Amino acid sequence: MTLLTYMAKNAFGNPRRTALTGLSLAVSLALILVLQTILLEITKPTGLDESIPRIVVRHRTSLTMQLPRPYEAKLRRLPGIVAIVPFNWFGGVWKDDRFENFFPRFGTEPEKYFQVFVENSPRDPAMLAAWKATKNGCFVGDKLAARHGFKVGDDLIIKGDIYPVDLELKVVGILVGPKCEELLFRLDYLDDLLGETTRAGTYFVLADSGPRVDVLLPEMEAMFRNSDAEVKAETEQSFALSFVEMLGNIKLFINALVTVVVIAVLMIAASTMSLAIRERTREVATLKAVGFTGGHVMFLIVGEGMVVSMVGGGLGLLLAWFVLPVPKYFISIGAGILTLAVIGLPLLLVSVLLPETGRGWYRRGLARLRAAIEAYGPGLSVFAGVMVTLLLLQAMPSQDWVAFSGGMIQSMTVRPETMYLGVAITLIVGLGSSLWPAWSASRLSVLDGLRNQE
Amino acid sequence: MAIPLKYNLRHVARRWKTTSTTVLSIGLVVAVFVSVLSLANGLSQAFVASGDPLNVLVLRKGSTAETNSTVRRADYYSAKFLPGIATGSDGLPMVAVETINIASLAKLSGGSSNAAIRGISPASLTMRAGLTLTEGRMVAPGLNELLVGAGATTRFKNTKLGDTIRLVKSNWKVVGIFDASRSSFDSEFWGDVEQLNREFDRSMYSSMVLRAVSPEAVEMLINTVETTQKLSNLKAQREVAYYAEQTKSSAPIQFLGVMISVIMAVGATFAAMNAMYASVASRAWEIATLRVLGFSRGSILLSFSLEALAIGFLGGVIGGILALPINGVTTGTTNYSSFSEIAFAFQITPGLLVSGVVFASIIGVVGGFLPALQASRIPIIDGLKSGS
Amino acid sequence: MPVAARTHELSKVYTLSAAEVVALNGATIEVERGDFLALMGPSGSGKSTLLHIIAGIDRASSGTCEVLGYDLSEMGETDLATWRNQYVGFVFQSFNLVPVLSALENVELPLLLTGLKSKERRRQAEMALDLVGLADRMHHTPRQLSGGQQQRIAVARAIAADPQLILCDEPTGNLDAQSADAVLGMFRTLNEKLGKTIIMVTHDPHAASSARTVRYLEKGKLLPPGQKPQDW
Repeated sequence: MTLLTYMAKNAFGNPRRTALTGLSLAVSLALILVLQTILLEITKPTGLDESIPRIVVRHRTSLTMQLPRPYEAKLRRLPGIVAIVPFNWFGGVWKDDRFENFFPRFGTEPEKYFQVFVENSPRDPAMLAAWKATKNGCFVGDKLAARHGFKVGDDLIIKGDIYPVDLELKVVGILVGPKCEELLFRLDYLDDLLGETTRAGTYFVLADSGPRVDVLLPEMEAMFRNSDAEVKAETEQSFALSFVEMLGNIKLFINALVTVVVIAVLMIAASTMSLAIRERTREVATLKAVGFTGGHVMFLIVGEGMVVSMVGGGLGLLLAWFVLPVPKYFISIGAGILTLAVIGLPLLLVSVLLPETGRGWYRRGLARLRAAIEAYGPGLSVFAGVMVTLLLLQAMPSQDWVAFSGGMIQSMTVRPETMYLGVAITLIVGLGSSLWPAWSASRLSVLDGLRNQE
Repeated sequence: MAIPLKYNLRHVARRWKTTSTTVLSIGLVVAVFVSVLSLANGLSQAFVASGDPLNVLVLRKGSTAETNSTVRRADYYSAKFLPGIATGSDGLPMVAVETINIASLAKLSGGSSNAAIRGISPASLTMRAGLTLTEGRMVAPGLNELLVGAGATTRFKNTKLGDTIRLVKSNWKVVGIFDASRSSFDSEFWGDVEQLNREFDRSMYSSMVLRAVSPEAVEMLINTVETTQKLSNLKAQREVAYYAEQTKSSAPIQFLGVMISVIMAVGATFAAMNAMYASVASRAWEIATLRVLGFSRGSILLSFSLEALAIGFLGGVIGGILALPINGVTTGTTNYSSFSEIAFAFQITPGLLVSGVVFASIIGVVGGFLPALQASRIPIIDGLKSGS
Repeated sequence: MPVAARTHELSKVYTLSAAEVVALNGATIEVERGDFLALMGPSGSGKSTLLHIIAGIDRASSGTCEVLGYDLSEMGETDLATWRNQYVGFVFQSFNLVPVLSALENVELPLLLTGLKSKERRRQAEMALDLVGLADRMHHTPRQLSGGQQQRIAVARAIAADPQLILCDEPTGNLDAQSADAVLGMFRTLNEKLGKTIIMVTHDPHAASSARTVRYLEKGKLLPPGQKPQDW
């Protein structure tokens, strides 16, 4: 035995209490990691490659205002520009206006698109040729295609809402890249439908280098100053960020929630620790009598708090890392636990409430029933819970969160930096919960402790 | 025979150190529950308050929002003299054509945000019952003048009387401030519709609002628009219904609030369980004595469940008190159906507080259930031994 | 004979709910090395307080206390703890074993602080258990053992670190006659065969009869050798 094993044995001396504290930490930590994941997903979406020097040019007044198409040629003449492509938000409705059937639909130009979005490519080079040959052809992002089962050759109808026309599109290609969740159609097809040249909502511009971007931004804005349509030029990152800012102060909101959860879990853990130490006052005194110093006692108790929090924190991290990213796991395990409770608790309740009165066979029968419930009840409910979990794991389709939540949740995949936060919170809770009980135990006098009758 | 609740309450009070942390952790759950839902509440309220029951909103068929709707000048002339439309104090039919434009304006807190710039007709103001001009005057037709909603003045720069704001290509002067009683109009800027259309290069309106003479006339008016040949490209609906539909933009917040609260509640339930188990363990002897005195297992179960309920209830009350200061705090987000910022306030209602307390009580009872079961199952002999 | 413990004019006054209680009032005693001393006296005579001060878990209000060559009143809490670990073994009336640890682990507990290697610790703990005749129970937890067995484990814990001085506070107080005899026999063996100095507080004359020397206390003072308090 070492001090560490002694510490661990103390931590599991009351396994039920440790389990409950650990579980509450695990659940809270998983919640914190989910919130943090959502926050990161919103503020720093994955798949945005910051090393690509790309500029977004749009109307100064707002995104709902559009820019004349001749602006493209004027912008193109600036030095340091590799490529430029117009983008037009079509909006519209596919199937119905339910949230899960919504995805971005942009009008653009095939060749130029791939010149500017160098990280994306057609799944098959022949697809680009097909797009150039088909006026009502469209590309769908690989992730979007996976979610809705779009294939090359499919016909899609997008009803217009901003524009008074409906798009009748044919899927000619699949877009492959880090974050391809949109539908792209040809802007000249929209021009044909409307019978006029549309304006462009935004121009995406690829510069030849990062430093060049800083020069280009003011140049572009100056170029159209005091015209009827002034422009705002910004990096792609700050363009993306402006959408986040539109949500309001989401960062404050989520950070406030996380703080409250941390405080709550800290309080729960601290009260459990002080409960555990108060019960062992005599033990602490004995330790001191046989020569443990205040420092030793402090080390033991803080260590015990750490063990408990690491058990809970570890479970929480495990939950967040493996279970949360896959809706199927999440649902099946949740349903299993629910089944266990729904079967187990009423059985327990019945066994307690069965009357102990009566005489003869009636009384014996009741006693036997109670014994049977107490003998088989727990096993039965655990069995049912495990079966439900296994069954759901088999039966449920392997969807991702986007498909599962109808687009409400983009991803539940916890990033490494979020995991570090989880580890830090685990350590803080371990330390924070045990510091006070440890300090008071280290100052406990042997005599006072031995007199304690608890 | 039931054990008096007083007996448990004394125990709760005696173990106040352990109890208070449990109560507080439940309180925090409830505080989160109440504040997040009050956020959703405030946002919904902003939309609910926006419609007027006598108003009929006309949009283009197929449009889901004002922002993507178009109403032609000809439609206005066709609709103007439909039967059932009220007449204003000026003797003209109460019909307003409006446009909704978006402009990115500088915020007081730094940065910029999309503001809704509504082009209005003279009738627009009188048709919104909850809306009053608190400062300055109405905008004059044909001039670059703006009215600013009370909510917008707290969030955007240059919104005091006499300030000027640059929209697209020219400067606009603030001539009035209006209070729209916390509706979504409160976050808007209003100006003459024709003048704004010139500023934003548009030839058509976004929507048309008709004022019905009476509540009965509303349905009739909607039908008339549906059946009038000249208006076949338009769709009429109650203004109230249109804004009620937008309350669903608070659904994600509501969902998030409930989800977070439930997960936190699981953690708090475990805490309550720990506290109750400790309470039961330290009282095994008492429980056994009560059993000897003739109390049944059921009454022990009930007694401990009530104790847990009391802890939960207390947590609920404390949580409500913790959340109260947030009531009335204003914040903003984007209304995605108008693509512009909407200011709204956290709104705690008595009903929300009650549901917080109920939620907390459930946490208490669920957390206390297993320990109470255990208490009722302590064999009398073991319990008596533990006290000696 | 060298002296194991020497106290001079020890007094101890403490306040108990606003009233001053005089526990020791000039207690002077010398305990020789190799002695097995029983301290007796009526309740409140100060015998436990004296033992606690000698053990370094209580401090005197005045007077000096020198144990195994250390002046305890000069030492800080941490030094005292280390000193106890090295030189003193303690046996309590209510055993005070750690419930989550096995018998062997309980005995090993004081050894954790000694810097011995893990194997060495275990060997020494096993030896101590062997000495109290419970080597076959080493993996049992306290809950699985009888009171007498638990106290023998406690004795093993007290001697595991091979201290020179063993202090016992009513070691037989919670035991039946048979178990008490076994424990007392063990103390005699430790004293006679291994030369340990033992100081035992007891109010049981039978327990005291195992000791070499018996001294009585009354009203916080030691009575002269051989003298008993009145009506004792």
